[in-house]
Amino acid sequence: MADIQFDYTSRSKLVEVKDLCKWFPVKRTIADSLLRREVRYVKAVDHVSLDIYQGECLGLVGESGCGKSTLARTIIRLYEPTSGEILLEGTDIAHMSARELRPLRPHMQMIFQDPYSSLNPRMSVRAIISELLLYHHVVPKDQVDQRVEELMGMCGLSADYAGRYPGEFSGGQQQRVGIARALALNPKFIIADEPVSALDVSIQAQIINLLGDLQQKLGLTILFISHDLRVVRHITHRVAVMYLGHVMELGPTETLFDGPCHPYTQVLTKAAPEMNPLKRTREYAIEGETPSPIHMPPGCRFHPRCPYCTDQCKAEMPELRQIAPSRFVACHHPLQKGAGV
Amino acid sequence: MIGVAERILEVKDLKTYFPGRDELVKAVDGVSFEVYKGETFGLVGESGCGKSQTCRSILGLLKKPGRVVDGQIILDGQDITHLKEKELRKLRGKKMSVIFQEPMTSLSPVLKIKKQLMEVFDDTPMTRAEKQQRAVELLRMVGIPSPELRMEEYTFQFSGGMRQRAMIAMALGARPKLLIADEPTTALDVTIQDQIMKLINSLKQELDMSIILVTHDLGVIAQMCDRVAVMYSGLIMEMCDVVTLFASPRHPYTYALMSSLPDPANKGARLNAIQGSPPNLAHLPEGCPFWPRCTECADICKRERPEMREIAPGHSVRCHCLDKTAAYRGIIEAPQGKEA
Repeated sequence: MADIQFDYTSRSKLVEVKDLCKWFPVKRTIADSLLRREVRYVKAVDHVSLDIYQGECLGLVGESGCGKSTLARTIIRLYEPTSGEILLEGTDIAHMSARELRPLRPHMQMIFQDPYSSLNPRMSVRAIISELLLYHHVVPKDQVDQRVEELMGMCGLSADYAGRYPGEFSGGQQQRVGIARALALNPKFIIADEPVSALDVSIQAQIINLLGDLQQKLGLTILFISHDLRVVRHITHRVAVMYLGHVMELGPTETLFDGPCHPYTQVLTKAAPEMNPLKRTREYAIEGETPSPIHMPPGCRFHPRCPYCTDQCKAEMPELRQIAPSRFVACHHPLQKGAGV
Repeated sequence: MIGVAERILEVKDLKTYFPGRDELVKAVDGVSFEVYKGETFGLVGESGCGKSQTCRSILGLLKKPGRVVDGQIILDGQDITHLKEKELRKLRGKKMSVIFQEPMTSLSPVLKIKKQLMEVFDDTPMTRAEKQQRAVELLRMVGIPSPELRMEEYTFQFSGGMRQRAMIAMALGARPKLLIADEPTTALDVTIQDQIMKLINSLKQELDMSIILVTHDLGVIAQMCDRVAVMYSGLIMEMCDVVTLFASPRHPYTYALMSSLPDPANKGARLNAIQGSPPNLAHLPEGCPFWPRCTECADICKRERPEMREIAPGHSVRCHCLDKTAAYRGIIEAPQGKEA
């Protein structure tokens, strides 16, 4: 799956996200409107720009509430963006109407975290998968059953199970159904939102292998969201690290993990418990918690927790800038200037 | 070290069953282990392997119709297997205490943190002011800033990490000898998980208690535990000290769990997934419960359930094929002078 040498110069951009914002207004009380207080927003995604290349697996990591799921859902237009552009193969889909989006929907599909709650319990697997085939008329009616069985086979499910209901499957099998559904329309772009987080360790590896095989075989472009850095490191070509609605660092997976440039990336990689009882001393600890996205700290969002914080960080928000080929960081004082790239 | 240490808890052949209308779910099917003073004992396994039910059996908090049908639980020299609820209540908090995975569901949403913390001292002769003072100290101990103000708040005003800290404060209020931590960091982000793990470790030293740590995360086990038991389908499959577990596992299940983890040195390669899924506890396969997924499976595995065998001091394994598993290499190098 992830050949480490992923050549970006020869690949075209499938998705370009430019200065994308998704703000949710905070519910106002009567007192707020009487006192004419300003409308406050949760800035879940705040001025994010990134490109997703054809055939790559881009990881999106960050802690809960950092906006990674909102970003993904806005990109495939499950949410209406507040501002910004989303180019899918050059076409801006950021402000298209539902009707205009409909013919584009087959190109973008999603795999969800909890396989059970994302499958209708009253529909058989055959019905779940064939529903989209029929709606989007991608195969002639008499070939629908055949296509369903083909998809199930591709995802490691026996075609005999087509008549069964989601409740009759184990968690891993349910996720296979979810993947089969996402693949049914031959999408160009798949968003996998924590696809293995709800699964047991022994099942996780099966699903990761399946996603890897499918990506290779079908040349899929995947946006892989996860908080499990081990999994992300294994499966992705590039990684974007998010914190409070902002992309803090973006770069090729190996170089980013080996030599993080942003202090937050360093914290994240160090915080994951090491699988070695002989290595228990931590050279690095992080204090405090993620601030509320309503009361965002001024300047760099990470400055209250950052060990390298300076006056500049408290006043000025750093922009995401390129510090080496294919390496971007939003920090005034990147840890290693262009090292390890 | 282990030979001379004092036992705080002894579980002998514990069986906890959940009778259904026409099937019997054997959640815990003959589990034996000891926890020594001052150690952290890890119980690791996948969902449904019985690790949580083992803990609930010890605490006397089994949900109906679950019942301890056989075995013995000895806490600090006292047999607590069949104690009445009234007597158990006297032990909970003082002798043993528990923190659960999701603090929001185990804290009351309608009481102030202060009130919930002060309840810990309800059956002591302390005055209200003294209780309040103790509550402030507890919150300070678990690292909650400005505890005098925060204790006037409700749980929903706390973040996930803060709630877990409050939960720990409550659990440790009466200085228990044994803390049972059931997935204490699973619901938390990695940076917060790191903080909570450090907090639990430092409090363990300070209060000189023992911990049973339940988790499915081998990383947490590696960082926190002294000894570990690996559970599968209501049985302990392998039990040893934590370094031996990672350096030279001997049970095929332990080995398979470790080899299925992504390895940074082997990026992009196919993972060694364990085929199939865990068995239904009401319809366990005959013989060893792991045989349908086991790579070493022999004929005898399908017929006879293997017994726990001590293969080295402090290292027990439940497997028929120990000669085949002798070649297993763990994911860390065994330290010098400590060959398994």
